[in-house]
Amino acid sequence: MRLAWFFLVLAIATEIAGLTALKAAGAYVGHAVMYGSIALSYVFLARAVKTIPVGVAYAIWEGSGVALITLVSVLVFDHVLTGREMLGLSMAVAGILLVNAGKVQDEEGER
Amino acid sequence: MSMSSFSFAFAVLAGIFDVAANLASTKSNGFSHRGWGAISIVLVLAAFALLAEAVKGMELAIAYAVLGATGIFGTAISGRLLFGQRLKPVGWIGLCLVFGAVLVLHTA
Repeated sequence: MRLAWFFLVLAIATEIAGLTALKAAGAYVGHAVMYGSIALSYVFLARAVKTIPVGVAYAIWEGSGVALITLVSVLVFDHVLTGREMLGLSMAVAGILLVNAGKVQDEEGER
Repeated sequence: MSMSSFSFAFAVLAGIFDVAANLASTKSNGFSHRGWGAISIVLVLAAFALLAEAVKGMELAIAYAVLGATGIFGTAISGRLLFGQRLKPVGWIGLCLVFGAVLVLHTA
């Protein structure tokens, strides 16, 4: 199970790297890098959803993707957070925690 | 069909491709079925290409919200129907919050 979470984190990290590259580099290079890292991200996601329910994994992938991209724009691109963005970030964190709490554990153990 | 509903259809289609990519990813059993793994990657790249097509005629924020809603809820519902992966009510509240976050952050 722990390994699956490690792969989910890798999937999110590669997604963020791709989107950051898209923002930092120009049109063509940025797009090429983004498609490459999205593909890589799905290789990791496939490992993660071996044990994590796919609905949970995808919601976490999508939610932390958008939240972390906002943080990257603060840290790398000197963006200042608006109240709305702070609200969005808190919603993402709360939502991910609830989705995770809502998983129905497989009584038989890992499949 | 008007230009904007055409773009909207592209955004919905992008979401559907995204859901299909997630299902193929699950079917690949951690890439041990390479065919399903490859299909999953092709589908997700197609989803992004469709999103790029959608934003030519509509705002990125709206397109992303449509993609997010289709992707997040579509994946959870199909995961339950196809793989029997159930979610407690609190998990569905969480899904709504994540979708809300996507909406808030993309329109911020």
